[in-house]
Amino acid sequence: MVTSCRNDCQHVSTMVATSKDGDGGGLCLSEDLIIEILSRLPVADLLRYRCVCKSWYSVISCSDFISKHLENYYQNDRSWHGCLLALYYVTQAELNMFELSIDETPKVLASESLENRPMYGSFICGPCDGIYYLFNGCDGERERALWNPVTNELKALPPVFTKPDLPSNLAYSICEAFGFGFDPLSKDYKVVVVKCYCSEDYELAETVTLPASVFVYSLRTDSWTYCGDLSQIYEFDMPSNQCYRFLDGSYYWLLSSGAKSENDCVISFDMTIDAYQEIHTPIYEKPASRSLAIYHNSVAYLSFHEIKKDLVIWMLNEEGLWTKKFTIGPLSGIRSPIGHWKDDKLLLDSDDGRLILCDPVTQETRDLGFHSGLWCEGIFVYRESLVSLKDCSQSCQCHDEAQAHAENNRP
Amino acid sequence: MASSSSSSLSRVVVKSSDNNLFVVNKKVASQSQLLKQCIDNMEEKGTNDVILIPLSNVTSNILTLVLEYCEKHADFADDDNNNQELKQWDHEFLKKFDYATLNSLTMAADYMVTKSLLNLCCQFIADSIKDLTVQQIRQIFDIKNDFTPQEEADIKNENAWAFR
Repeated sequence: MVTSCRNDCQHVSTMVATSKDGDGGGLCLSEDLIIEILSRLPVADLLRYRCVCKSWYSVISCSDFISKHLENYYQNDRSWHGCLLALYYVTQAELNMFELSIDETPKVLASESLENRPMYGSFICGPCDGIYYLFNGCDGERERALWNPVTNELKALPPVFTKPDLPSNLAYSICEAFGFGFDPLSKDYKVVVVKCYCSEDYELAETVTLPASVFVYSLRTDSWTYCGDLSQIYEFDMPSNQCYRFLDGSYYWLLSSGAKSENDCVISFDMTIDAYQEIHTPIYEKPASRSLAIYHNSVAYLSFHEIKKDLVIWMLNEEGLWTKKFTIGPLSGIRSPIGHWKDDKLLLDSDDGRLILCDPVTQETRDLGFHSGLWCEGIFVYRESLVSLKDCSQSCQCHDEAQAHAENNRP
Repeated sequence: MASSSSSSLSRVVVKSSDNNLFVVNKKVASQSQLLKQCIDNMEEKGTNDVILIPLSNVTSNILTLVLEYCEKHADFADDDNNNQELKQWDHEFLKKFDYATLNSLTMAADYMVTKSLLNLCCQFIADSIKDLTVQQIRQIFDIKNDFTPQEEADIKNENAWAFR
């Protein structure tokens, strides 16, 4: 006996395709399916296909689609995993970014300056979901902006306010640490800056006694919040501002103390609760260049002794203590650690500006076959998006928890 | 026919829109959430009857392909999803089809809630329409341009680099 269960099927069938079979030999699909397909295309194709017709234009411009694209494209297209951008600081006006592919055979995909960089002399940070934070601290007026280079959208940020109890003889110095990221909890993009102070009177520059302050900007509210001051004064090594994304939404910066002082400091900032923490770094042998990296899902502190040429890697445990993990070397021809690649490789800069990949376990090093005479400022995973800065609330909605995980894209 | 409160079906019969019947074993049918839900519902009712599931939107040609996919994936159901052999098979499976077949297969995967096949089809189509011109896309999707020349030029100008 055969029993039909058609009635049972009807209520479970939530995704009924309504359009008829394509009969013109081409594709004729419902809008939902078109969206599924388009969300797997590269940004350049999507910007072009907006011209196809009005309904495609509105689909591709919609914030839900942009969010789906972030999720689908980067999960399904594996090729981007092998690409990274190397950032070189040329002059105040020039910043070179190179796109490298280092998964199979190392090769340079493109080597171009970020064209039409909208703010002269700006520092750059990111990308997070294809958005960069720009900071121009080199002239009197401080300019800050968020920028999506693919769509060439630029959003200027309001100036950071002066904290209420600032002594009148002090002003902000141009030195600051900064970072840009996404808070998965409030689904908001945030900029964090750690600003230090200087005396208005140049002669008295050494007498500044005020530790740096922490401010956070929220794209959703388009405003800054003052989070508090650090416990002591650190020197800020401006060009080597380095922030690293971490899995739980915390960012880490290394504040160098310069050669004269004893204490380096790592500042961590938890985007979800807008709280910062100061973590003392391990005692390293001087003189050494230092950097932060991510290694096996932990923050790692790298110090490279300038004469002995050995590289020491410490890892930060959950109690906030450093444990020495490896000592590698001597590594001749290396001048400084830069960061990491994936979860278990380190990136180093050689004396003549070549990028070197290093496996701390096997101590093997590999020349990435890429050379720039300049000092490498940072390495980022290459990622682009359609995320729009025009409407803050829209771009913030563009994200959900799943993407926040997929987004863990630091090299 | 005896009925039992904890019944378990081993096979179902699926009927295509052109009235062909397919006998499908439960493990294979379960690759489709639509079929699985029907089976679960019937089992809850405690029937031992063979059930017939009519699929009014899927022709027998396309149903054959969906079931071929489900059969292969049922074989690998206990393996981890990243099985290289299965990935290779998936790719070879789709490579054979023209756009019209891919179109029907995608719609059937959607209708039958066979998520992995749907993802596979969407990714395959996406890969095949990368780097094309706007005109080529209009042909493939049989879309009429409803922009005025001026509107189209304006959109192009917004991101001229993408058209180089």
